[in-house]
Amino acid sequence: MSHSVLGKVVMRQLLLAYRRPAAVLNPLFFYGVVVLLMPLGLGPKQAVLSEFAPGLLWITALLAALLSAEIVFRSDYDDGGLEQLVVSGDSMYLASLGYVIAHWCLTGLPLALVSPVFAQLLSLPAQGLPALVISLTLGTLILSAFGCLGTSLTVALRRGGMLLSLLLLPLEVPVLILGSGIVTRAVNGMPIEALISILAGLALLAIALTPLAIGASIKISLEV
Amino acid sequence: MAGHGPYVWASYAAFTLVLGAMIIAPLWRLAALKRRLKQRYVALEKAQAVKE
Amino acid sequence: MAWAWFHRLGSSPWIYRFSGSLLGYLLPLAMTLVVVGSIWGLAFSPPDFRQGNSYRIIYIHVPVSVVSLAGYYVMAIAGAVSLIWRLKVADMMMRVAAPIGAALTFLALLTGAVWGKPTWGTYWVWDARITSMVVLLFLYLGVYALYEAYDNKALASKACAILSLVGTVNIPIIYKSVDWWYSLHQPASIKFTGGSTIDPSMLYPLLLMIFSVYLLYACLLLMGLRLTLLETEAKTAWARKEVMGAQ
Repeated sequence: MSHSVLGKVVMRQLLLAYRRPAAVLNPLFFYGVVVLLMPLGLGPKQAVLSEFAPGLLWITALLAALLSAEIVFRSDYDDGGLEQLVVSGDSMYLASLGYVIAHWCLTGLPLALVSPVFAQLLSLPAQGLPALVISLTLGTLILSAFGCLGTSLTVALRRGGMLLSLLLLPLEVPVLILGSGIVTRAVNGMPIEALISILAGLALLAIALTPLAIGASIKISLEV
Repeated sequence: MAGHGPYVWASYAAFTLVLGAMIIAPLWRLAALKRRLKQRYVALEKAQAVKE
Repeated sequence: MAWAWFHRLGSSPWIYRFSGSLLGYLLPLAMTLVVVGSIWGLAFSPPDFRQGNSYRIIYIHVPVSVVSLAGYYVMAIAGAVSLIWRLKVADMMMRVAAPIGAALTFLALLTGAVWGKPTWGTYWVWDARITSMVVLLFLYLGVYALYEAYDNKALASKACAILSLVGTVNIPIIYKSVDWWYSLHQPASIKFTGGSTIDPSMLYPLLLMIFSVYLLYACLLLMGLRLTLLETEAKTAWARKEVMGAQ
């Protein structure tokens, strides 16, 4: 496995992140800051916060994913590593999949694992916590897939930042709806197995199909 | 047709305006483009005639 | 013999002239049908039992919504054709379809909001249909914005084709999830009146309007296509002949 380009790309991304932990920590700090803004904007009443907590936690996850997606291919594009990858003849599908999985391991997964802390800050009832972690784990995988797709389309453009949000957010609507729906239902004591299966299905679909588009988009961006 | 209320008329007005604009715009732009190109070609032909 | 047609699609002058003559009778037909359908809906169909006369907005709202959704698929298929067969005309078709579809989606949202006021009391209601339309609008705007962001227009078309295809796969998922989201939060009183049991006297003008807006959309596509063709190939011989010959 580690001999294929998939393993190599994942290992490389993880190694790079290990050398510069800021790449992993910044999205988490961002998440924390936004979670701080919520009670400041909505008022400290626990009843209010806990009612909105599932949605707020998920929206913030979306925004954090957006921010962290911007830098995925940036450095590799700038120093020519991306071009080498394309020219090397290795499977772009596997390489793109590697980028997606690495991105998820570095942003989505830590976020999902740390989310109970933020959930406490927003008074999310305890029944919602496992649902939050599971839905974030699966959902951020989809967000990483789309994030890498959006970045691969805009990495060569001069001011791609805002455009990235415009491209990604409509595609991420189902994830938001499902994710916050799962947490809300769990808080209300309703069964969530079916919804989690659907989310898992979407995640599998995302990681199976997006690398195709990402590979093609990388080649387009390199020709700019 | 009375009693259709301002809302119905507003929608039909919006519909007519938007679609009307979408129909007229390409026709007008095509005519303008043809005019511009014609000027350019006529000028080119004149320049060629002068050369010969 | 089908291949002759396919090869003609690679010939810009043929497309320009053929669509020109087609538009000559298609556009007046489409416009006439839209006018006829509108008048039929406004004047000659009976008022609704619950909504009175304000329901007549569906004669615009529904056709425009349907065509705007179909238009996204037109754009995506054009993009796919241009990616696979590298047909220039498919490229241009996709590019032209984006702003037209966005305008139609915007019109659908506008008429939906105006319909909401007399029906539900407020201009904006986040019901499943309208919310899906908003997402569709942003999908269109995304494709348009991506095209404008690239300087190299050939690459822009390829990027937009990929984006449209991704959007195409996503649209059913988006619609289904918005439907489900709405059923989660739906206040029980709001329902789409005139649902499945719609009286024929109301249905026929609606069908006519849907058909004529589709026809009008096709005309708008062809018009935009001709404009783009002439613009991009302004320096070719056939363009020169068209411009000089058209006195």
